[in-house]
Amino acid sequence: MKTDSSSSGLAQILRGNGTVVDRSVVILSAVLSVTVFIIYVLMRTQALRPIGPSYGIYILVDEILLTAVIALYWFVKGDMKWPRYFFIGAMMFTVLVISTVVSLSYLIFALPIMMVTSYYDRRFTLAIAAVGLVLMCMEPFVSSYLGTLDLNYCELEVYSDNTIYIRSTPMEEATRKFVAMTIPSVAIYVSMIALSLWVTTRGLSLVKERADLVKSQTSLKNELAIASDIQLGMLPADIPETDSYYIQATMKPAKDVGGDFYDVIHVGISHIAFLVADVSGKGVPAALFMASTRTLIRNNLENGLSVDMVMDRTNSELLKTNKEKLFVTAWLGILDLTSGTLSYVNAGHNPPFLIHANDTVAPIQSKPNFILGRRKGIRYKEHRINLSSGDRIFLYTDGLTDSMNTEGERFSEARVKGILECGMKSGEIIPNMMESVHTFSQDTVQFDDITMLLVEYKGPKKIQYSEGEEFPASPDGHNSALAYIESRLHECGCTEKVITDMKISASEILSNIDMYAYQDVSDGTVRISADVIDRVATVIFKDRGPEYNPLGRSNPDMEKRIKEHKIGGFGIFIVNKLMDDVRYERTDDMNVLTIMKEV
Amino acid sequence: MQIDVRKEGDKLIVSPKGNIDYVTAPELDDKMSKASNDVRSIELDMSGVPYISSAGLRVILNADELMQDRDGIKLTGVNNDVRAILEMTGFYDILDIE
Repeated sequence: MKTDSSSSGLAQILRGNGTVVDRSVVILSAVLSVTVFIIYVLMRTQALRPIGPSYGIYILVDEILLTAVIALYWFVKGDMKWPRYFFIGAMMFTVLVISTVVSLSYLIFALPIMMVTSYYDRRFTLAIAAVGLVLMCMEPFVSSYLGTLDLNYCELEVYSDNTIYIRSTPMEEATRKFVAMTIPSVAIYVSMIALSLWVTTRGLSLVKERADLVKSQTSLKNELAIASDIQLGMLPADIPETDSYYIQATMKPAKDVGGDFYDVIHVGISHIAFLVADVSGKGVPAALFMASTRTLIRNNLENGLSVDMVMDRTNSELLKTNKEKLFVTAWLGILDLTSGTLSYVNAGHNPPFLIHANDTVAPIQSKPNFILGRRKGIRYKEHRINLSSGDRIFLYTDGLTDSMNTEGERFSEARVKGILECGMKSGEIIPNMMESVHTFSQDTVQFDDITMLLVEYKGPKKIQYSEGEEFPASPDGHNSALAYIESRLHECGCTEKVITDMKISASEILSNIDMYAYQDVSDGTVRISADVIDRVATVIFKDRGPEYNPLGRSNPDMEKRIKEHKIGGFGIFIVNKLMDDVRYERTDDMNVLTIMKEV
Repeated sequence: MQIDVRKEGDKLIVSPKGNIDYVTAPELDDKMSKASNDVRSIELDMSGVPYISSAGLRVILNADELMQDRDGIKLTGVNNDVRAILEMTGFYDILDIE
């Protein structure tokens, strides 16, 4: 497999090279045809001697051959290999013609063999060398028989009497020339062949090296492409739209692998976290750093930490392995879908824009904390704002605002703000922004990743729970309440596991209510509803006891408590462990405790 | 709740039948502490207990405390639901469970 691809790479390079050499051969042929014509003219004008009787046909044949070379090249345009044998053949014939017509021009035999070395084909070089050798040896005989060679030629005065005629036969003349001139020239020619073969071999090995280089470069490029795919695959693809929020995001990398990313993560049942981040540096190191940052933030969020804690921990974890001294700027927010409260932390990132429902736009200004990954023990600060229905937040990385046009002008925050003020629908903002920055920067190269994320808070998550039933808050009511919850959840198709967890939690809560809320009352009641809505099993407990928030008690460090034999808080600890979400509210003089678990 | 209590030498074997929750836990706590005065150890047979609530955990903790200076408390026949609660609350690593 490996050799196949490498030899195919080599073949490809050789093919490309051959095409280039073909062109040089044809150009040289054209030059030679002119040369031959000039020689012909010189002979016609008696400037060049000697002249045999049949040189005219000889030269004509050569001119036809050379014209055929040019014509053939014109038609095949280097697509095929065989024409080059014809090209070199024609050149060799021309060489023979010139050497026979112009005496003492053996040097010209160097031409075809020098030319053919560029094909990096040893057999071809050898073949042409051999043919050249044969032609060279033939040359004295050809020229003497054609009459272009006349070693006896001399101008004699007309009618002079003291003429000495030494008539030798063409064979004798040719033999004399062969011995006197051809043999020494052949000796030189052979050394030239050796040089040509060396050049051919050397050229071939250079081409092989290049082929290997191209191959390794190609595999590196493939791996980069895969890395880029993996990286893009880390970005959440389909963010579902719900009746409480709308989120759209995009990331346009500048290089194959970039350092920007965004993420959207459901936290519990009623919160959604979103972030936009920009890793310093580009390419593979940045991409790897991005991947670990993303995983850390995700894990910390999934562990239910608040935004500031998420950043604290991500920062200290990143510091442990950051040999390259990279860093990340990030803006992380968690939106409470029931209340519209947005908690956020800004780690050295550009402030996002808040687009109010009435299309007024302002940046969310808060003093940013330090970037992630470079300094120990940073305490990230959580900020809060309240979103109203229809409010939107536009997050971006500086790749957007720093995009340049051909005049070197920045796209700038002002332009972004201007576009956001146009009153577009949520779904139109990012495509429009992308279009605008594209039009703005037109022919300039994008030098930084561009990331945008838009969140619209559509309004509180509205869920209509059933009325439920009233049960006495007493040991007697306890079992019937549990039976009611079980039958309700069973009707809704919950699994045994969910029902068991719900019952364990309900039991803890009911005993709490009986013991704390109604400790001085004997006929207290608790209203219980149990529903499954949006794949979330929800049980709500309402009692009329004095205000008491069981969640106020911090989660006990169990081991410590057990060792120290302290008792209390286990119940709510178990509930928290088993449920995905537990909430307490005081409304209408009632304690309302809601427990939720995804089914 | 039915609670069987018997003695084997200086070991007290307690076998409750039913859920140990805030309703039944006080009864179990009462019986166990009364019967454990002159024993070295307690074996709590959980094979008849489908599930245990936090109130039940407190009972176990009380018993464990009682046996602190003696040979301790041991749980047997723990089913998967009860085991899950014990693991979740960290009891599993601290108690002697068979």
